[in-house]
Parts: sequence; C-alpha cells; structure tokens
Amino acid sequence: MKQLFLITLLSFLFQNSIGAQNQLIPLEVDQNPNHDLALQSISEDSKQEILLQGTTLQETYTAIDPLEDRRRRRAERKEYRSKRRLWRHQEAIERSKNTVYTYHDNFGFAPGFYPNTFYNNRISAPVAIGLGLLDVALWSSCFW
Amino acid sequence: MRTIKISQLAFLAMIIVMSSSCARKITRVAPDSTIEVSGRWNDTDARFTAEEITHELMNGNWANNHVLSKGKKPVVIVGLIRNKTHEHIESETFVKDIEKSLIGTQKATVVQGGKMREELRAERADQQNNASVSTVKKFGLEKGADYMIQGNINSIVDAYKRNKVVYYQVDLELIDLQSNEKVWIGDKKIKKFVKN
Repeated sequence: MKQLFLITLLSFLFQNSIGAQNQLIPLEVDQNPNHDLALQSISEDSKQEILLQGTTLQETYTAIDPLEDRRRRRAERKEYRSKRRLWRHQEAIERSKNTVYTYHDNFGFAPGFYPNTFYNNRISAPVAIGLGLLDVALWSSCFW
Repeated sequence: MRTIKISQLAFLAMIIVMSSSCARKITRVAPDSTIEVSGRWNDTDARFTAEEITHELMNGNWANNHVLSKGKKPVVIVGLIRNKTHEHIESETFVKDIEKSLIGTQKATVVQGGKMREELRAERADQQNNASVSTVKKFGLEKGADYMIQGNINSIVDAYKRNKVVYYQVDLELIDLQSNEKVWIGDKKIKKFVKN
C-alpha cells in the first residue's frame, strides 16, 4: 500500500515537471497553444519531403500528338521485327529440348520400346526392358 | 598493270565514300547560342527562364521589406519544383542561376537543403570523432531559412497533323516559412510553333 502510494506520488510529480518544462517556452503573441500537436503530426513523415528539396519531381503526362504516336508505333514495329528472328530461334531451341510432342511413326513396333515419342517415351528402364522382352517373345512365337 | 590501277582507284573511292558518310562532325558553339533541333524544351528555354525569373526576383520588394522589418538579410532555401509538363525537364538548370544571382548580388543568403544538406551533416558528425578539436564544426548552428522557393512547370500541347504548338509556363514562388505568405511570384511563358 505504502509502495503504491509512493509510485503514484512520483508519477504525479514527474508529469508535473514535464508540464512545467513545456510551460517554460512562452507562447508568441497569437500563437496557437496546440502547436506541439501540429509539430508531432508533421514530424513523422517530413524526412522524405526534406530530402526532395532542391530537386524536380517528374509528374509528366503523355500529350495527344498524332505524329509522335505514329513515330512511337513505327519504332515499336521496328523493334518487334528486329526481335522476330531471335524469338524464332528461341522457339526452335525450345522445340529441340522438348521432344514429347514430335510425331514419329513406330513401324508396327510396340509403343514404348522403340522411340515413339508421339504416345509416350517417358517410361522407366525396367518397364522398357520388360516390354522389349515381351515383344521379342511374341515375335519369336510367331516364327516357332 | 591497268587492272591494278583500277582496283586501287576503286579502293580509294570506297574509302572516301565511307569516311565521308560515317564521320561524325562536332563543332563547339557558345553556350548562349540558340540552336533548335527537335522543338522540345532545351538549354535556350532554360536560359531564358533563368534570365527572366532572376530579373523579376531581383526587382521584387520582398528582400527590402524583410530587411526593413527584421533588420537583416533574408535567408532563402530552394524547395521542390514539380514538372507537370509532357517532357522531362530538370529545373536545376535554371534554379542554380537564380541562386547564383541571389548570392552574387548579396540580396539574400542561400542555404543548402535536401540530400546535400544531409551530406553536410554527415560530414559534421564525422568531424566530431576524427577532426582536431580546434577545427570541429558544431551542431545546432545552422542558419534557418526565412523563405522557400517552390515552383511548378506546366505545359499545353496542341497538335494537328504535322503542326504543333507547345506552351510552357514556369511559375516560381517565394514563401514565408513562418506565415506561409507568398511574398513574390515570378513566371516565364514560352510558346513554340513546331512544323514537321
């Protein structure tokens, strides 16, 4: 109880001392007494504004100019055309990497054993060996 | 023998043609010469703006009024300039000329702001540990500005077929930092007719 009273008293004295410090700076004639609140509200994000002093903020817009538009379109078209060969080359490279969808006739062989990429050649090695053996067995049984 | 001569001549002609077509020609010109190439904002526009706005700023009564009321030279800082045109324009090209005139004529004191001021403060902070005691610069002794220069650059474009009229307006204002009062406004208007 005694401690609680002491803490309350100390906090009261501390608050009073802060208030007294604020009162030390006298107000100017006609100065708003809430000027501290205004300072606190502006201090939070004023740093960014200050760093931009002496610079030019570019808030440009695009003007309506048919001739300029035509020039821009022409430049875009030229750039597109210049890149077309590169894109074709890249497409060819990608096609060569991915052989899954390329057509290949299997000449009557079982799918999966010979490189028939049209159906599916992504089978594991044991399955491929098994299918191969089965194929050989079937053919040999025909000539038996 | 005859064939060698012809081939030599052909080679020489080829070199002459190539050198004449590919050679870049550079000529030094006076910085105040007027050269119009594309019709866009250029150095001549910046120079004209600097000249006119400086003239208006120097002939304004704001500095004298300040000296009469405060008894000392005004302190000016350059704030943010907004480019709201359709082109990229750097205001520093003409704002520096205005600052130079203010300092040169001793009409006002100009203080540094922005990132460069931060750099100065960083150097001052560095001096606290590294410079000799007699040469250390103290904190808290900077000059506070009385006025701030703020401004806008605007443009209007009117284009039809191959003709174009471009209008630029540069507005600079000097604002009292204590009262937000505009003590001076200067502008420069530029109109161009571009025929393609």
